[in-house]
Amino acid sequence: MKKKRRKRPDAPDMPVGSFSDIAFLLIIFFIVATTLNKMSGVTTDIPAGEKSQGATAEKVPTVELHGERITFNKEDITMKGLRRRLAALDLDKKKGEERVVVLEASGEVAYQVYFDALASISAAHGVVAIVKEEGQGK
Amino acid sequence: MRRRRKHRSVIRVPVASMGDIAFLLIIFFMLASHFAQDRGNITLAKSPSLEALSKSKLSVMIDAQGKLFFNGRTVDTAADIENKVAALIKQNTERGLTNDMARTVVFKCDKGVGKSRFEPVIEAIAKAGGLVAAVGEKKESAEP
Repeated sequence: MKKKRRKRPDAPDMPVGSFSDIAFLLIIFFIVATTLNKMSGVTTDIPAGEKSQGATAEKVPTVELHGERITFNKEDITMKGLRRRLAALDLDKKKGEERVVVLEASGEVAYQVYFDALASISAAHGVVAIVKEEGQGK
Repeated sequence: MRRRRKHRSVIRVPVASMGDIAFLLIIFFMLASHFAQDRGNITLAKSPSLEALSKSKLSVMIDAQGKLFFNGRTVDTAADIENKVAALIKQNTERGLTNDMARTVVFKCDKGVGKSRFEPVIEAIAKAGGLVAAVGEKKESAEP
């Protein structure tokens, strides 16, 4: 009697047919999840030194924030008015210390008001110098 | 004489390399994607006079509750931020990054946070030698 030939078992194949589908699903996920948003804001190099005492301090334009109230050189002003006054200073034509604008906040000022003032000074090409309230140090 | 008609071969689209292309695209997206590190909940301040900011590896955030974050991790005080910013600026400079790129610190703060919380942080960044890049939202102005 003839011996029955044993059938060789087939080599197991990995099902790769759906690999490209999975890959494209992943691509779709990454396309949807990726946000290409550009940040906007204000870049400012705040001098870290101490406030200089002297005659020049009086000439430095000063923006003061008291809660919602804004003053520019001790004069009450709106944020729009501040932008106009700062633009009139032509700070872009000045150099070094002449570009310094002092920003002083007293009382509890919200970041919204502070940021708007900071952005206005920066847009006018001013260099922001932060002054702290007395008792807090400089 | 009878002419024999040639059998037209069936045109097949080569799909064998589709998977490879797809995986290459995935790798591209994985490398190009930047996942946000900031976990806090903040509403950005608005202003009409803003400019585009460049990316930076240093980020400081203050959320609506006044919690401080440095590169996505909570920190306790402004002094901690000063130390960390100074250390990373030094590291960036040693790596050969240009001065502004090495020093830029992206600063995000909730618009309702009070001065007593954000001012020491801004000061700390300045003291550490950082360039403050305050992030905000562009507000359309009615001004001419």
